[in-house]
Amino acid sequence: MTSSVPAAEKLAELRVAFDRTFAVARSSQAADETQDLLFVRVAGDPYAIKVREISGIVSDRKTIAVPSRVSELLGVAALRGGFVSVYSLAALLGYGAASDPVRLLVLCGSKEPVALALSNFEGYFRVSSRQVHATEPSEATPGRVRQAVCVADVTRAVVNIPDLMASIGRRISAYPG
Amino acid sequence: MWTMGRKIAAGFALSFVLLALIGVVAFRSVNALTFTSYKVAHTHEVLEHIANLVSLLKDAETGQRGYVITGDETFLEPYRTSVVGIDKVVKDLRQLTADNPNQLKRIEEIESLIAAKLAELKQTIEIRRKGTFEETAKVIRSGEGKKFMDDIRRLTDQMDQEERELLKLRAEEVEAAASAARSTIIYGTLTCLLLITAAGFFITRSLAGQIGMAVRHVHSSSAELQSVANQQASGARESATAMSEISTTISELLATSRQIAESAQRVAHVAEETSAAARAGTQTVLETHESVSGIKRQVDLIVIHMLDLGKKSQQIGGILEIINELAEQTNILAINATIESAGAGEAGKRFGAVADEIRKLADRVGGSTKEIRALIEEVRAAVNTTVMATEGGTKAVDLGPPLFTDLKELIADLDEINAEFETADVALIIGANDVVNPVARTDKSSPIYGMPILNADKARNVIVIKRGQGAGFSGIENALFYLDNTRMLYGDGQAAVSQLIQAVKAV
Repeated sequence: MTSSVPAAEKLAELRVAFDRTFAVARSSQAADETQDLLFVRVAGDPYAIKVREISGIVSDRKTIAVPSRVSELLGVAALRGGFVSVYSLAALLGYGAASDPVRLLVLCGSKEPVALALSNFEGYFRVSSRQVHATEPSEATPGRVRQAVCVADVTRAVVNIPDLMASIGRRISAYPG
Repeated sequence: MWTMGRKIAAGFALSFVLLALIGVVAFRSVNALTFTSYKVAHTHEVLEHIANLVSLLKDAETGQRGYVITGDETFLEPYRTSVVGIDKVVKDLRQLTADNPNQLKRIEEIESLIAAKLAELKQTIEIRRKGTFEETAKVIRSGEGKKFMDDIRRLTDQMDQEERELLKLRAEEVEAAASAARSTIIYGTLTCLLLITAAGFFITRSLAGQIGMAVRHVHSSSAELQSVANQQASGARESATAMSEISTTISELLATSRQIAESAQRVAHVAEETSAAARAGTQTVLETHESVSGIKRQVDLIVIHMLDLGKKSQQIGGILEIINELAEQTNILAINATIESAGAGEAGKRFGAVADEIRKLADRVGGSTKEIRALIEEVRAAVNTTVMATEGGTKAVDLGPPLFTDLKELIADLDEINAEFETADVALIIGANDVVNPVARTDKSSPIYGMPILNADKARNVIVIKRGQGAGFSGIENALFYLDNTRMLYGDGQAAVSQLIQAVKAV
C-alpha cells in the first residue's frame, strides 16, 4: 500500500498541528525571519516568486490575444470588472514564446496591475530568510534574477518582480501609442 | 527468336536474291551490248554502201572517160556494170537508213544527182559514138558532169560523216554497257561472296553455340539420370535390408504371441479386482464434478462483485478530482488572503494567520487526495488482477467436466491395460510414481488408497527408469521401488531407453 501510517493517526496529527497554531503566541520577529514564496516552473526550470512582491493570483482566466509589437504580451484577461494585460513569464525570462497552456496568472503592481502567465505552479512555501541568498547575475535574465533559494536540494532562482515590472514598462514606452 | 532453320533459309534466300539480281543486270547489260553491236555493224554496212556507191560512180565515170578518149566500146564495160549496180546500192541504202530522216533526205538528193550524172554520162557517150572526141570534150569541159559529181561527193561525205559520228557514239555506248556489265558482275559477285561468307560464318557460329548448349544439357541430364539411378539402387538395397528385418521381427512376434496365449488365463481374476477399483474411482469423480460446479457458481458471483467494485472505484476517482480542484481553489484563495492581510498592517495579521491555516489545510487536502488517488489505483489494479484470476479459474472449472469425462474413460481403459500386466514378462516404467504405487490397492491407511493405478507390480519383471528415488505428488514412498522383481535404473529417460534398446539388440 502507499501509506503505512493509519488514517486515525494522521487525523490526530492534523488536529494537533491545527490547534497548536492558535495556542502559540504570535511573534513579529518570526515573520521577519521567514519569507513566503510561490514555487513555480518555467520551461521546466525551477523558479520562486516572493509573495510580498505580488498583489494576487488567479486561475482559470481566459486570455484574449491582442495585436502588439511587444512579443511577451499574450493578451488581456478580465479581472474584477476590468482588464489586465497578460505577459508570458517564460518570454520575459528569455525562454522565447511559451507553448504550454496558461494555468495561473500572478498579478503584480497595484495601480496598473499586469498579470504574469504561468503554466506550472508547484505551491506556496514559507522558508527561512537564511535560505535565500544573493546570486550572480545571468546574461540571459539581466536584472530579473538577483537571489536564489535552496529547498530540498533544489536551488531556485528568485524572480525579481520589481525589475520585471520595470522591464515591461521600458518595453511599452519603446512603442508609444 | 530466330531458329536455326530460319537462319539457314535467310542465308540461302539472300544469296539467291543477290545472284538473281546479278543475273538480271548481266542479262540486261549483254542485251544492250548486243543491240549496240548490231547498230555498229549496221553503221558499218551503211558506210560500206556509201563507199560502194561512190566507187560505182567513179567506175561509171572511168568507163565513160576511157570510151570518150579511145572510142573503144570495151572501155564502156565498167560504165555498164556500174549503172546496173548503182540502183541496187541506192535501194539498199534507203532501206538501211529508213530510221534516219536526214540520211533519207540526202539519199533523195543523191538519187536525183545520180540520175543527172548518169544522164550526162550517157549523153557524152552518145555524142562520142556519133561524133568526134573534140565534140565530146567540149561537152565535158562545160563542167556540168563535174558539178554533179562534186555534189554527190559532198552529200556522200555528209552521210559518211554522220554515220561515223553515229559509229563513235555507239562505240561509246558499247564501252559503257560493257563497263556496266563488268562492274555489275565483279562487284555483285564480290558482294555476294562477302554476304554468303558472313552468313556462313554467323550460321556456323550459332550452330556451334546451340549444339554446344544441347551437348551440355544432354551431359547434365545424363548426370542427373545417373544420380537418380544410384539413388534407386541404394533405395532397393535399403528395402532389401528392411524386408530382412521385418522377417526377423515377424518371427519374434510369433514367439511372443505363443507366450501371450499361455498367460491368458491368469488375466481374468486380476481384471475383476481392477474393475471394482475403477467403479469406486468413477463415483469419486462424479462427486468432485458436483463440487467443482458449485465453485464455478461462486466464482461467477465474485467476478460480478469485483466488476462492480471497479466501477465504484472509478466513481470515487471522479469525486476525488472535484475535491482536488476545490482544494486548489481554496489554496489560491488562501494565498490571496495572505497577500491581502499583509497589506492590512497589524490588523491583518490575525486574518493572515487564519488564511495561513486555510492554505495549509488546503495543501493537506491536496496531499490526501493524491494519497487516495494512489490507493484507488491500487484497488483498481487489485480488482483487475482478481477479475483476471477468477476468469482464469472459471475457464479451468469449465474445462473440468470434459476432463472428468476423459478421466472416466481412462479408468475404463485401465481395466483393459491392467489385465495384461499378469502375463507380461517385463513392465517398463518411465518417470511414473503414484500411478504405479501398489499401496493404492493394498494399504487402506494410505492417502492414495482406492486411487485407480496401473498394476505394473504384477509383471514378472519391472524396470523403473527415474532421475531419483523421490516421492510423487502424494508425498509418500512408492512400494513398487522396493519389490524383489523391480530393478531401478536411474538417469535420463530417453538415454536409458536408448541404452536398453541397444542392449536388447546386442542379445
